[in-house]
Amino acid sequence: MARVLIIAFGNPLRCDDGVGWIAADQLRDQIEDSEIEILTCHQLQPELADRIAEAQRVIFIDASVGDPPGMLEVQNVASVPYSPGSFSHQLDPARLLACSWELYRHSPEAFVITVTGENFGYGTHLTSTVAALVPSLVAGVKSLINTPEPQPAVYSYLP
Amino acid sequence: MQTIVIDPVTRIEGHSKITIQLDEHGVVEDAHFHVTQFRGFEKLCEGRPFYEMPALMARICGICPVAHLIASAKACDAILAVRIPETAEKLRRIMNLAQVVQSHALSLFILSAPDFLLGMDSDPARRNLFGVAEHSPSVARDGIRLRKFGQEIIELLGGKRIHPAWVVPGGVSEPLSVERRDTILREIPEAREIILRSILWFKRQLENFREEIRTFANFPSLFMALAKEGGGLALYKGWLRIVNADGDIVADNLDAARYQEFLGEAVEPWSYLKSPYYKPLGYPHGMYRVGPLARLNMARHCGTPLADQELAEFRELERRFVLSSFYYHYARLIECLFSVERIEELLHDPEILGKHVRAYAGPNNYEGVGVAEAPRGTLIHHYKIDETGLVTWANLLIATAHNNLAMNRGVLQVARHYIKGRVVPEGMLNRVEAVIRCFDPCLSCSTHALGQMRLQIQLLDADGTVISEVMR
Repeated sequence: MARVLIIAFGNPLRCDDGVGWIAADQLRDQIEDSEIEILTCHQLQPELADRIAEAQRVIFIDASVGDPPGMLEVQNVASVPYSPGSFSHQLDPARLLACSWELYRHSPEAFVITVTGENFGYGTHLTSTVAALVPSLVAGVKSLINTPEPQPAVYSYLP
Repeated sequence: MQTIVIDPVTRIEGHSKITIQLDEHGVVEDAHFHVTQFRGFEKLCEGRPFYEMPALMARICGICPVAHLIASAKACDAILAVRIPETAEKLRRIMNLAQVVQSHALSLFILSAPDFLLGMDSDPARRNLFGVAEHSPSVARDGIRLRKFGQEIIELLGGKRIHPAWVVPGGVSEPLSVERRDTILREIPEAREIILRSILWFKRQLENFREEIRTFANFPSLFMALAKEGGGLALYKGWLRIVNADGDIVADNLDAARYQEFLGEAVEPWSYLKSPYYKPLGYPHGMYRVGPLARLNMARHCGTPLADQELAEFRELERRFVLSSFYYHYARLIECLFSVERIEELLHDPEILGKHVRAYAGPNNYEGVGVAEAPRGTLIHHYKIDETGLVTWANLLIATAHNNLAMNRGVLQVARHYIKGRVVPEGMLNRVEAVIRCFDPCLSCSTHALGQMRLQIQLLDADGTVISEVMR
């Protein structure tokens, strides 16, 4: 059973949307702890609910859309009820937690750490703005792993 | 005349709408299932090297990329003119079977189970996985576990769940390790138990859906599927066979590479989805069905013990060929059982760990056709290349397209049965959608397009005015 489950999601063929995958690779290199599981995926699907139900803490890593690019944000995620028609094949973190609760009666504490992207066009590279944020993103995830009661925060790393 | 429009159709793979036309007396006159998305992979692949085609074609769909990988790789095998190593063929078979499990699990437990458990007339806001989880969490958990079982096998073999690039022209790119084989084998018993109890659960539901069974695309038609020596269920290799509603063989030993001789491809102005038909009977009389129902109707046996027991019971449903498309769901569960049993058999095959998994060659033919049974039915990829190996022409015949004529007729049958007059209860419209879900159409595949999962139903009056519309 993973004490901490890290789920990095996004499309690595869409430039900054793949920032989670790059952070996940670096976390795998830096973390040697059998109780910490790191997953990467294109989108959140209901199959993840049983993995989430086995974790004590879940950290989602995602790219966000907005202005200005270069914002690192940590938020609590609470499970929310579904809304009509909202579900087909993919979920957002809050609804995935709700799915875990409905199916397994366990919805662990969860956080989402996001980086505001600059370019979501076709490509496998990050923009320089977002690439410069990756070390802070990785440090932020490690802090979330090790802090007993993390607090939501917004950090600005504007170029 | 009035028209009902359902736009978009929900809980299917892709974007479509349904229009139902009423006459001046409010009686259903006609109905159409429109596929409203388009991307055109057949054109965008022109000019690409043929050996890129499996990876490129897998991008058609995120649900059943493996089917496209396999049909595409088989078309490329034909261009190379190679016989792939035995181990490679067995490994491809395992991945194909794993995909059948995960795709069928999605169709049954996530897209259609809300109707079975909550009822066709239940609140549409609850007809989704969350509604299923609230009503019967064990069923929802089983569906998720089963889908995960299939996806994990695909990931273990191909390196990732979606769009694995492991199936390549000439075989597969990597052999199977002992560790990965044993990991899959450890998961088999749980998957088998889930399917067995799901079959029991589904059989108990049947009594509640007698009217739907009677009216959901329940009519005589041709059926087409791959066939093989001995009459067993064929999902990877074989020749094409076409049978009629009485089980009589209409055409046999058909070489898929010559599909254009016996299959026509009609197009209608109101849909991007083409309508294949059996040429000797013409259009639209040459309508046929493919997929789990066609395969089980045609197979004398599955070839694995538990699936054969279930097939024997399935055969008793209508005392001859099973014609109601509602039973597609039932057939999916039996195919899941077969797939799990067959995966286990293949993993115990001493050759499965062989290291020789790819045949190498340059292009030796200017043309190649690949065929396989995808979860939704027969899938055909056909490519032509120039002397440098670049693709000059491609044609894809997708399972959902084969079923297009039958789906349209099914929509009309359900609409005529359930819709009486201008006021149409939501549950009636849901049944119009549900008949489409029986076929589990994958519209992203069938139009090779990228789309949203949406549904629209429009009810039009005698002069074409929209008098009722549902959009979800």
